[in-house]
Amino acid sequence: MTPMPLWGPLLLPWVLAAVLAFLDGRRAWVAWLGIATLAATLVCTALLLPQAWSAHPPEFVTGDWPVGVGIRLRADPLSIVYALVSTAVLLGTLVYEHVAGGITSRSFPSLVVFLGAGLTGVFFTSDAFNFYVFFELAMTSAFALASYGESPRNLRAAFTFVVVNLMGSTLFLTAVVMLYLTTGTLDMQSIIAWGQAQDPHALVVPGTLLLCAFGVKLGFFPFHFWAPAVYRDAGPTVAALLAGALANIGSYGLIRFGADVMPQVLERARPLLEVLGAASILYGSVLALSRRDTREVLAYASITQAGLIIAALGLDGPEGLSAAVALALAGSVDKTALFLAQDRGGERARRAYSVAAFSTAGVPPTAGFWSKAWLLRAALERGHPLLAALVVLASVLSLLALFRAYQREQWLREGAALHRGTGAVVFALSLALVATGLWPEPLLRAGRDAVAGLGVRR
Amino acid sequence: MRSFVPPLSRMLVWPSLIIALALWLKGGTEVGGGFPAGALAGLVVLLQYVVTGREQARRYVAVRYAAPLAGVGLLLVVGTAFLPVLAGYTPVSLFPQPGQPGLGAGAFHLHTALVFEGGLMLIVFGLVVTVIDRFALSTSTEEESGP
Repeated sequence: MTPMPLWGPLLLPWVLAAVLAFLDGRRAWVAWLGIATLAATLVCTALLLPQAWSAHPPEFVTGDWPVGVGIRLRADPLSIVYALVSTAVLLGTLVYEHVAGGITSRSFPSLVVFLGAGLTGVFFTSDAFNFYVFFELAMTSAFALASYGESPRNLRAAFTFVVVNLMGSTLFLTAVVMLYLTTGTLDMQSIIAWGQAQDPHALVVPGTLLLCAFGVKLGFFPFHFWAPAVYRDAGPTVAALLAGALANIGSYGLIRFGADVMPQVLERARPLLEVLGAASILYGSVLALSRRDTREVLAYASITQAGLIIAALGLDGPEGLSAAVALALAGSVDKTALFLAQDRGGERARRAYSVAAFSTAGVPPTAGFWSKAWLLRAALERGHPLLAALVVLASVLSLLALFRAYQREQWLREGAALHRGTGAVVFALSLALVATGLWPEPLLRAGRDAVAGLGVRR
Repeated sequence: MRSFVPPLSRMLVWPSLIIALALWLKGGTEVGGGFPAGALAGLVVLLQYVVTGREQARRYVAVRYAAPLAGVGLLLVVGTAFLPVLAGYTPVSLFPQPGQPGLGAGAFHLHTALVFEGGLMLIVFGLVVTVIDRFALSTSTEEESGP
């Protein structure tokens, strides 16, 4: 059997999203076509796993041009694990929306598949400008998706989201232009080589801009201001898409550009990252306690989550980076399950909510427990007892904030599901969290191997 | 007194579109390409919307069918990027490849890069015009239902 080519998971969602754009997404078979596309993309990405873990990860340069002229695409373990988790989250969300009484907009399946194409492209590209192109593709679909539902409330959320994220995109584009003017190349490997040969301090300004741009995507303090309003007012499906899949661009971008492309700049930024991380953790946990709307609580919990990732990046050494990857992956599934469990009720959704809430707070046996334990260990090993204390405090406060929802939310106490099948999707997500908690080896290995080859020119 | 702006804006349509076409055909290593071409064509349409209103601007066929045009552009882009894969080339291989004899005369060369850029132009044009049209639609309904 010939090995899976790297362009497989890129070609599939692109072509089918373009086809889906001409079809009416409100029809059941079109929705199933979209679901099949994402499932096939997931399988293709999974088939790349053995190659990505080999000594020579799969890569190609578009049009067989020499490197520097053509765009290089590459799938190392970091790219693969992010692509797998994000595609799985998109798949779950699309299935959920379809079984929850049908899709109400003709473009919804096509846009979700476009979002998938953009995300896969972002994770596989090894070229700074191409990263921007795929990033914009994902953002454009997200802008259109944000208004899904089309009530004034949804549109208000969409408007905030679009304005803030366009600012983030502008910052990112400016950083890419500065990188090109400074290093004379856009290929990430060549930028690594430049940083090793030349004075890497010239990269500090683009690095700072990148931190701000990805900060807006990921939503940590002080770039979090859009998150509560958007997550509260967008529909639960859209909030799950934005918080579960799209926010992955932020953490992936920080790890890719920080740890891989500009490790010297990340080294200098460590104290800043620690402060920002600690501030986000405190801010998110305390405000999550003060909110009455459950979706706002979830939004602030996601700010805490982002803070944990930033704090993990701020730790010296590979342990912190690995913890950041594990936190991002587990957090992505947590948030999707939490947002999707809202609104439609039912026994399974209730169980899924409590499992995902336990995972967010870091209670065993869940995926969230292992990622937080990893961060805790890394913090103690590197001599940051304060950060370790903050992690524990954040866990306790998140647990309190998320379970206070039982006092207010009727659906958490009683009532059947509004739609058959919605509970099954959320339940499957929470099962994945528990399964990872009982058998954490894949998550731990993903975290460890994803950061193993970063920052070294290959 | 009649304003000179509406006739002037209409006169600008064809020259602007010709410049957009020139930008598309130049492309390659020079300034130009599908993106600025599509953006310029979109700006001309924006001018029509602002000066003459939605009804007048929608007299042009390309404006009425902007969204399908973006879809066609998308298919062109995806097609040129991925069809070479079926023949065993890497994605985004463009033909004729370096060293192969080209078709065309003078400064104009037939190349699949032109198809790719043309698709990009249609996507940009289609998206810009669709967004403008939606804004125009929502403001015109607000005015009708307003006091």
